[in-house]
Amino acid sequence: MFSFPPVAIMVVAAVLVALIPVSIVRKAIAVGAPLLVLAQLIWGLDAGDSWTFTWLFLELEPLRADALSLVFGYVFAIAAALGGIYAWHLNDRYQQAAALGYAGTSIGVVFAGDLLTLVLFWELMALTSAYLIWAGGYPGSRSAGTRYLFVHMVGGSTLLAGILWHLGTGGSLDFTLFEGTVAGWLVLGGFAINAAIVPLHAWLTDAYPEAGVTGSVFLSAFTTKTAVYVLARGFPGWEILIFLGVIMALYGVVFAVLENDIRRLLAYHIISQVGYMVAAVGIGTEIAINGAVSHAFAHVIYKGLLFMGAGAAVYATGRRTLTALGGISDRMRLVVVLYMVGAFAISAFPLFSGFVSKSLVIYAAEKEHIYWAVALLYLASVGTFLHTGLKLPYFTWFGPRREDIHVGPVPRGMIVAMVFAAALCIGIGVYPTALYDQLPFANTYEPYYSDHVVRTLQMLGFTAVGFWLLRRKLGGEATITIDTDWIYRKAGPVARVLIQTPLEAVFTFFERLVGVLARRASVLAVAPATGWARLLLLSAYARERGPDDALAFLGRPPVGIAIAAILLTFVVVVLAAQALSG
Amino acid sequence: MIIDRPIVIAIVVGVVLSAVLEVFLVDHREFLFAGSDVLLFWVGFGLAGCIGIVVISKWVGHTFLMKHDDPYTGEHVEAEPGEHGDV
Repeated sequence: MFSFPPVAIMVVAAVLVALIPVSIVRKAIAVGAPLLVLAQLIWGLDAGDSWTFTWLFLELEPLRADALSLVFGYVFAIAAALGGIYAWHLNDRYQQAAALGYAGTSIGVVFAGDLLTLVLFWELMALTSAYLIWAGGYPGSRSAGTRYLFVHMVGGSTLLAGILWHLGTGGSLDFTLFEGTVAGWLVLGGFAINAAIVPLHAWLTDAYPEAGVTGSVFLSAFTTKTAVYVLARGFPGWEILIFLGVIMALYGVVFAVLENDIRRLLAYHIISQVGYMVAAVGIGTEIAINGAVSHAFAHVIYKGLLFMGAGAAVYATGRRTLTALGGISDRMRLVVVLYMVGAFAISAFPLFSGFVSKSLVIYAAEKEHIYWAVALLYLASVGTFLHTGLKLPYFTWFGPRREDIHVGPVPRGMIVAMVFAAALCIGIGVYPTALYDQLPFANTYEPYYSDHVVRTLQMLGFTAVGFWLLRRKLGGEATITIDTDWIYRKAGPVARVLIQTPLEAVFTFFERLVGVLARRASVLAVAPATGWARLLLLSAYARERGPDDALAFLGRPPVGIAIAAILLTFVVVVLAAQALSG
Repeated sequence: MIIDRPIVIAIVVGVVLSAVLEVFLVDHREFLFAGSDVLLFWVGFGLAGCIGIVVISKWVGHTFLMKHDDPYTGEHVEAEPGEHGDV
């Protein structure tokens, strides 16, 4: 009875939210629809459920439920509901609708059983999320949103090209494992852009901080994690992903040192954390896939919480950089405490969610004797705590009290959402079985053993010592850090001259040509009885006086004559065709 | 870099406490990579890793990546952006 695609609930909710003028109803739908989806996933769907239909000659499957898709569905529904609560103060129906549409199409991706459905939701995900960036309201929001959409359209086109190539070479429409063919690499390229795999990552740090504070909470949850899902389903065991994942884990850490915008700093840590998941997919064993999935689950919650905390500071102060913030902790105590729960979770402190998920990824690398990856992923953990657990909160909230910063009230919805997210971070950390039981493969890993706990406390404790020693070097600097988006942002004007302008000229030429032909054809259709000779005469008249005057001059002949002329033309054409055919 | 006396004391206490924890609590030491099973290895890893990340990142940033003028608009980057998004 409930075996229908959960995306349907979210799409209907998004349409209703866009249409309903009553604010409180819209807000209730924005929170209620994801909760309804969550209830459907828990009680209405089982692994193995499917929903198919035939369109043209294609067998499409918008619902394929299995352990992998269900666990992503759970966390996406939770994230959407938390985002709805966080955005309770928002009275922008189109942003609310876009957020629901974005969450819904992400859920659509994870339950898509065929490649065509997948690519459809993939593109819709890009469109709806781009709106959240455009709606940010910052001076850079519109251009950042456009660049974001451009990059994702390139990614979507690469994905579509790969799928068509795959189908053209005898591949199935089912979304299963890909092989190392041209099609497989193209599809991987499309997925890699959404996963923010370095060097295809800059869209993320460029765009996310330009969304509004509520929009960035949604953005932090879905795009990169749907990419992790599709990589886990299509590309487990591709060794190159181990290298790329480890590079991501460290790359995000290095750039976070340099960053001044607090939400861009967190965005760099999305890249870093997704790096763990990508590396785990590359390892490809059952433990590793469990690690990727559990870390994605934990990450959606704690990263959402971190963006909520940072967003609350931005909302309350109107400031967004480390250099412009600080000394306000006594006016935002609860926000600081809740943010720190997210910071401990992402840093993998014992009793917090990251500890039980990140360690599963590292354990998978250890089991496969990939020791260099183990060492570098631990190093990335040091950097994660350094930035999200120490640098960001220290320079955003602590330090000497600053009276020049006005701290406005934080809406109750924001606090409530943060409380729920923090409770989940602690709940998963304290009782990891609740998460492990949802993983695609049976789990035997136990994260709490003395060596692991002591090792983690030693490492993170002395990271804090290192921070304290170097804290004066770690303050924000009012600079812009160049990343790989520099290439296409600088190439934009050149591409405009070399590609866009000539193409526009060609399009304009053909547009005018088609216009002229259409006008002449319309003249012929209105006055077929006059014949081709008269048309030539008319075109000469039209050149002189314009097409409307020409038609008026021509006058409309009697209907009978027109029908006779059309029939005569038809007979002539048929006779000519017969004569030609032989 | 001058290190305050309380910091020195905290570091010493931390190292001693770590050693005690490691000796008395850890029943089975896991081999992760070369050297990872040496006493107090993770204390050094955390401290050296933190310092290394900061020093190397800052050097790379100041040398190549951080710009005081916006490379896309040419405008000087202001310390107080004063931006208020439509939140």
